[in-house]
Amino acid sequence: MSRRGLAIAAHLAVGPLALVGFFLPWAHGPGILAANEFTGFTLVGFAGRLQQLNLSLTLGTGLWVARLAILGVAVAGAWQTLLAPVHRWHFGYALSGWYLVVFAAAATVVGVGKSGIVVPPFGLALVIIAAVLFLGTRWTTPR
Amino acid sequence: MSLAQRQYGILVTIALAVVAAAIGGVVLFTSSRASEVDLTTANLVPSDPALYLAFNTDLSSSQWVAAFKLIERLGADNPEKQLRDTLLDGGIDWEKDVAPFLGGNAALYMRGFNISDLSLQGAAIVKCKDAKRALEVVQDRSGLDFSEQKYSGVTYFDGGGMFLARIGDHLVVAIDDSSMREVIDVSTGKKASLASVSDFKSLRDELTTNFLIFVYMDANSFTDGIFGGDAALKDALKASGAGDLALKPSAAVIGAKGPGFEFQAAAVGKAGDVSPMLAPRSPKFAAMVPADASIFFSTTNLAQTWKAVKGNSKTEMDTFFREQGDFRNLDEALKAAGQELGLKNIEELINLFSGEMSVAAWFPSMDKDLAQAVVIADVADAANARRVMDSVLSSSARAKPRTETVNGVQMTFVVNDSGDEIGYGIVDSYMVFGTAKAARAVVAKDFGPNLGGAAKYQKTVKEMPTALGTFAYFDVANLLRLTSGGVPVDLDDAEKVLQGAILNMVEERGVARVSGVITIAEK
Repeated sequence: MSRRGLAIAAHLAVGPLALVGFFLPWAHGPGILAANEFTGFTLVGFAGRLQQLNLSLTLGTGLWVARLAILGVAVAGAWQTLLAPVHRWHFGYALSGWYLVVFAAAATVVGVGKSGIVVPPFGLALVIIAAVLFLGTRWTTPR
Repeated sequence: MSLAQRQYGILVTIALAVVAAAIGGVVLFTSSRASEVDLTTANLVPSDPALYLAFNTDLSSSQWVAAFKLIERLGADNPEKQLRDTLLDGGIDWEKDVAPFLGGNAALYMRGFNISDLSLQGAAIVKCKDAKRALEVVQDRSGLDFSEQKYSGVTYFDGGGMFLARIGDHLVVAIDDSSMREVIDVSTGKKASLASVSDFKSLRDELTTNFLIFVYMDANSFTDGIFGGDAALKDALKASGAGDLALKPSAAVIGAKGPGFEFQAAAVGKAGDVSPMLAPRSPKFAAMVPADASIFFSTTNLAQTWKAVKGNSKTEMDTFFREQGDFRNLDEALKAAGQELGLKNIEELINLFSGEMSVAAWFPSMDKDLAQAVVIADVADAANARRVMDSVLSSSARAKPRTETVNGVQMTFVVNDSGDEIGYGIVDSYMVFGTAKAARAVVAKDFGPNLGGAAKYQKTVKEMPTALGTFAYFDVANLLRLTSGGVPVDLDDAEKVLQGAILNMVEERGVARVSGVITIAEK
């Protein structure tokens, strides 16, 4: 495959990878939740269940921020998928791509801090790969 | 950029915003929905257990999240950590030794129960996250030597008093060889499973699918086990009109919600003669008693229920009274009871209660011996009600009754044999009868806030998993305070946060249900 072909494939892959990754495992539960595997989708739900417990304003706000941040991965994945064919033209492509990069970096830092340097769960790994591909296309595609 | 391109760009941006909102809405809504507990263990249980007791083992489910929070409110500090630490103290590592068992649901079942020869069959079945590791944990911790056996192509392990098998994602721990073989037969399709039984399916559908504990009981198997299938007992239960409820399968669930714990039970049988009392309704008399009522009982159609029970079981009741020796039949017993109250027949009193009837009690001085209590009941015929109540009051009076006008209502008071003043009055279409002070307060409506408008009562009613039928409400905090001599500081952390409790029976969609809730306050 030519370099141009690879670049196109990379552009087209970012969104689907992030979207699929959202629904695959991101983390094991801590403590007594060790038996539970959380995907991005189930993390949003679990945080929602915690919110229903009339927590303090700070905790409640923190959970909303966490839910929206995780939800942002699905939205960014969808935007990347839709805008990949016109990636030069609409600012939404860059915005969603950089969101994935920032999120993946933050998740990597949290993951390394929690578990050390290990292979991340498959879903999170796909999101990180999507972010790396986006970065790669930014550096290699001429403007 | 041309104008057309700019307009196109704006349109695409709007479309992207719509996409984001749609994804956000769908994910937030679907992911936060209460998860259902899939009782996969019922697929391995034989079709005729006397008892099937299942647990939700998904600790991230809304039920467990709420339960841990409620346990915290009851005084436990970080119960999740306490649980883990307690096990660790016993040499059990949560991640290695417990987590493999937590695959969503676990169950115990019991069948072939017979009290005469103390025989019992049964097994524990656990849907595992890692069934292989779970099997190792049980083998290691049991301290037994297991020998490998094979039955219908399934390998199981015989440890003498314990039989283990891994069937798919499930770990089976049976108490005897025949129970293990039965579970294997069910798993291979040679025998029917509990999950395929229509009564089990219909009860499962009638109750909430989101719970901590699910219990299914076949009362017929239990009575067979305890009484050896005594036909006379079954006939007596059927004749009493309670046979349908007492002998058919029933199921119950216990769960946790944000404000408290709830339970709900349903039976396959119909409510039968007691059906009129279990009609779903909104109780109106809760608004006519003080908010600090510690006990409030409400029912309806008592007269109609009595009529139905008497009509269907008169022969059996006649026999009962004849065998007791004091009366020749039911009618004679009813007449004698009525004469004690100055009536021709006690049915004159029963027939007054043809609508809603409530009993409320409260303790203004926080002394359990100084209760104020009232009965409030709809009356269809005020003149007849007055005649009956005058007779009842006169029959127990030490002195001549006296009348008093309260809030424009004529009330009658007497001092009864115990020296307490009691009284009644008829207000519009309902009657108030009780201790003089309470009855006067209810008729005068001078008791301050009412129970129906009280936040604690409303919150408890709101959390009920079913409609209200015949029910009792308890102000748990007040009642506990009474038993502690009215001193709040004597209550422990758990007692301080308990609020209201309701125990309820109702017939909904043709199914008799028992339900209840206990609410727990924020700390």
